[in-house]
Amino acid sequence: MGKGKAASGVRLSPDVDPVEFCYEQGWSDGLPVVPPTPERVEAMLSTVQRDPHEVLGVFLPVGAEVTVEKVAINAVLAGCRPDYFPVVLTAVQCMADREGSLGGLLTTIHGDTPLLIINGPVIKRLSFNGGVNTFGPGWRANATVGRAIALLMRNVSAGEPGRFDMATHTHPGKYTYCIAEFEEASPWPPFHVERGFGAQESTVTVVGAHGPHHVVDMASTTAKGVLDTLADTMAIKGTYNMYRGGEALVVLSPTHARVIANDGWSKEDVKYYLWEKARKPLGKLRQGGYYKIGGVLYWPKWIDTEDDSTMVPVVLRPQDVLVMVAGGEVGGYSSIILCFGMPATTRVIPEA
Amino acid sequence: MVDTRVGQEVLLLNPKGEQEVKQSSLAPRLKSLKGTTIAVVNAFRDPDRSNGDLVTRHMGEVLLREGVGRVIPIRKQESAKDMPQEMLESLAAQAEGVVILEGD
Repeated sequence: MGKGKAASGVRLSPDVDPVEFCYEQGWSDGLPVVPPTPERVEAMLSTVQRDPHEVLGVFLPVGAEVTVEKVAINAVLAGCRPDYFPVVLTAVQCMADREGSLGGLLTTIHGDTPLLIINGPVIKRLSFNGGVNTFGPGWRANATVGRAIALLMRNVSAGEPGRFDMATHTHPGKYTYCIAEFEEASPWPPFHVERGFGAQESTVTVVGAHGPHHVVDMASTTAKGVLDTLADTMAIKGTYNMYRGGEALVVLSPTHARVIANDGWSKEDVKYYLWEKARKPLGKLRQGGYYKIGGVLYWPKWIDTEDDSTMVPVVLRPQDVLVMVAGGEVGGYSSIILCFGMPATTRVIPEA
Repeated sequence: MVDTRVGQEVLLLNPKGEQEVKQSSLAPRLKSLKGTTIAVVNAFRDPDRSNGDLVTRHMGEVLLREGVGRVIPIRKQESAKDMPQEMLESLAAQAEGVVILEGD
């Protein structure tokens, strides 16, 4: 995409606290940031073989060029270690692949935000967490890589909330939203392998996502039992997905994954079953939600919109159910994340 | 690594998007709407522009009442992006003025 301009700099006098200065400039998400000195930014850049001024994309709505250097500056702000930088950069490239969707995602009143899913050897090498307390705090890699993306969006793309980012409600993932798969606990091939990558490749997947909805099922001892509970949680009226499709990410705990796999079910079986079962009758959907907003129905022709008993699926194709395994080794809990606004995109993280 | 404690000079790099702002002047104002051709662009964000079409139609009616000779209604396909160059050139060739309608 060509070369962009070098980032400007500002020299602070000795009586100015750099952290407070960053707050005053609106560079922070509300939490303290690491001041982006040229030395720290250079340390990030040294981990990739890229021209710092290479333009990765032009992110709407601000329309500023996103250079490798700008990504590095925001990674410093977020508290990333330099060796996390290739992961951050790859995630930004995934977002650039979806540039057409990104502007809408970042500015909409809807409130979704990019979720990062990490797979492959990089999980162990950089200590990403895919186990206990998934989605929660305690791991620098998850916390700061997700935050780097959130800060970049704020600083380079969407601006301060209320200016371009107009979400009525959003969710805490807009501070940081990065999980890893617990590949060893999965009875199936890893998420990225299913998406066509090698098991020894490290990848990051980025998808526009709601917050996680926790699902408890401690009673079921069969695949159908667990999946019926998940399907019941997925098909809800108060979501875009019921009216417009999108994707649904199912983050199965190791316990639930074992129950399902022990019945001989593959991931493919899980996807088809949830697509078949996670449905709501058209008659109910007519009563609110996103029904006929703007005078439009988005359902494809094969959904009979004349019959109130038609069961409408929460996603329109089985392959739109994304399945991965993460979480503590014990516990009958999984999570459903309805995804809308930016389809899942996966890229390989180059080895440093 | 630079020490960033208060008490020493420090240089920070700007994490914000930096854009080159091009200076341009407004197009010459029309002295009168009488007999002119005006394009009305539906740049609404509603999913299929159907609500925007209503406002576009109404705007066209208002302009015709004000003496405009011809109204050209146009849909901008991607509300968040710049108008395609060919559309701009087509408008410049056909219309003496443009009204752009935006909303969500």
